Amino acid sequence: MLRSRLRLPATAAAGLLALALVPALMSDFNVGLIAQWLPLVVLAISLDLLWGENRIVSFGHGAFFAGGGYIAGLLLRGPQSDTTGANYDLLSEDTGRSAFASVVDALGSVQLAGVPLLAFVLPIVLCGLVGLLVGFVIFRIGSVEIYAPLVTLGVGVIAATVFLKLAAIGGSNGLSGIPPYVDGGPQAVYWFTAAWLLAIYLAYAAFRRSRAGRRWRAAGDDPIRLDALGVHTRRLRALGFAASTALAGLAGALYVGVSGFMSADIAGVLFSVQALIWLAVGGPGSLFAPLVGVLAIQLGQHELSEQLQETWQLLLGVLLIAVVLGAPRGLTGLAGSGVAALQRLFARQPHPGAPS
Amino acid sequence: MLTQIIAQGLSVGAVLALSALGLTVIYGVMGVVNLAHGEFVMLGAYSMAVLSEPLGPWAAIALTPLIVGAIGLVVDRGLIRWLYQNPVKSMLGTFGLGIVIRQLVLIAEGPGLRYVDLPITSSVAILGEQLPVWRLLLIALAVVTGVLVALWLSRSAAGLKVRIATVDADVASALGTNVSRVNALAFGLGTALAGLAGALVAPLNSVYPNMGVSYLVGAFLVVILAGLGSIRNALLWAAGVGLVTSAVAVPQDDVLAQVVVWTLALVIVALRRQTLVVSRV
Repeated sequence: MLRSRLRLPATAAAGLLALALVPALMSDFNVGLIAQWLPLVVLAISLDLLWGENRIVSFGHGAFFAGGGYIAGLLLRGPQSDTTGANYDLLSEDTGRSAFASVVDALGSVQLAGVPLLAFVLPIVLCGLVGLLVGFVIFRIGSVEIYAPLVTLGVGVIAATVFLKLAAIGGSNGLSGIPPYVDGGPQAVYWFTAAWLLAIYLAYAAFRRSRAGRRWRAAGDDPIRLDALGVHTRRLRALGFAASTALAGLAGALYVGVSGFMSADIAGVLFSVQALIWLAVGGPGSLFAPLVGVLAIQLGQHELSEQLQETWQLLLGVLLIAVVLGAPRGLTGLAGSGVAALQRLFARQPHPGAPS
Repeated sequence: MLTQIIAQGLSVGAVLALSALGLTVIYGVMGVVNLAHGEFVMLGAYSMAVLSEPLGPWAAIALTPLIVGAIGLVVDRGLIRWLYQNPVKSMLGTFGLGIVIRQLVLIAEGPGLRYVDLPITSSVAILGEQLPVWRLLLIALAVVTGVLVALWLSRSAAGLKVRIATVDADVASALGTNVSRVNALAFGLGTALAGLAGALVAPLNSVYPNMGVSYLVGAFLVVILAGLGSIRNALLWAAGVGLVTSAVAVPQDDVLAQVVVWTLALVIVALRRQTLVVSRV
């Protein structure tokens, strides 16, 4: 079908146009703000890969996002850390600290066009490996839809506690003063991040349409049948989980390049759930859900959280309940049914007696 | 130090057991994974903090499960019943509920820490070490409550109805059991147990709006190990988790304890031959 073959390039062109309009129309401050949301969309895509496409809900993706951010942040900034506020110094001996510093320096010096290459590679590889381990555990237990959230919840809690106490990454102060990947102010940072997002989004759209993507969806819809068809479903799902955590790590690496900051809060359960709320509001399983959800919630948070304070969080909770009860397919689902209703309204009514 | 570790471990385990018991009953009966469970523990602790001043600690402990259970009943009719038998939906919905409860308490009571005086300050000497009586009482209360709940489920007429509704709601309904009342009862019981856990732990820890998360996580750790659905397993694993936690936390520190416990739990789960079957109650 020509129409469906044209849809992907058309989507890409529309996305490119929308991304290009932001720096053209907005002030530097707002461009910087929106640039911070783009990595969050990548995080939401990594969750959609699990939840929307494979029915696995993760309550611990913030841990991988934060982990990737810390690694990239260290490589971008260098290891000179002020350790006040960190009360659990794993590298307290001078020798340990200097060895750590020289390792970070050596890793950070591998550069391509001024961008430390390993700041992307290491988060992907390390978060992917940890994710593989976690995925292996989850898919061994059985009853995945219940135990995946519980195990990932635990992973998030451990990560947040450990990050909070590690002096090497700033402890409870967080890792701050991280320089961006590219010079040239908010506009350049925006373009750098937007290019990554567009590439990831296109790859994700292509994956959803590919044979591998259909197999991945089938592994979530009916794992037992897929097993019977000869696919090693458990291994496939563990690998897919690892791919998702690797993508979350990459999202974190992109995030610190924009925000310049990473803290242990991000690894915690509350941020992971915030990411789930983006997706729930967007509508899991829909291509545009990550973008729509992140923009809707972050815009709301930016506009309302100052004036409303505690009430904003309250609203977020009510919104989550409302979406779960009233619109399980999220905003994109609502938009889809709205379009369908309009189409029915304007479609030419067949004459009652006309031959079909 | 060994007596110290065992007493502290068992009292940590007792609180875990009470919270995990509530989770287990709620999941077993209505297929709801209650991520707002920590917030019901928090409500129990706040109820204790508010009531123990005018009424005295014992009346507060007796009233708290009733109050929190009543809140649970209201929440069940208002929200939870739309989430029955749908674990994923129930997790997201109850997490939203947890945020709402937390923020309401934050708005009403402020973010500050509150403290509750120990109802019994004395300690007894066991094997040459001074142990606070309150911790020992807490352990005893948790064991008694667990046994009572198990007996109620296995021996009483109401417990029988709960078990029928768990196995097959349609058949139970056809035989004349009011399933929706049974569900409400189970949610009320589960939240009342969480409230009791909160009331008992309030004198040992500080009370604040965000305290629920750590109890939720602890209860889930027990549930991952014990499997959702078995009361006896939940009690035993809660004791085990508590003992390992205090074996690391007493000589070392809490962070290391948490890391050790979770790592051990994941290793145990990964090494299990059998995949875990989710049985109901």
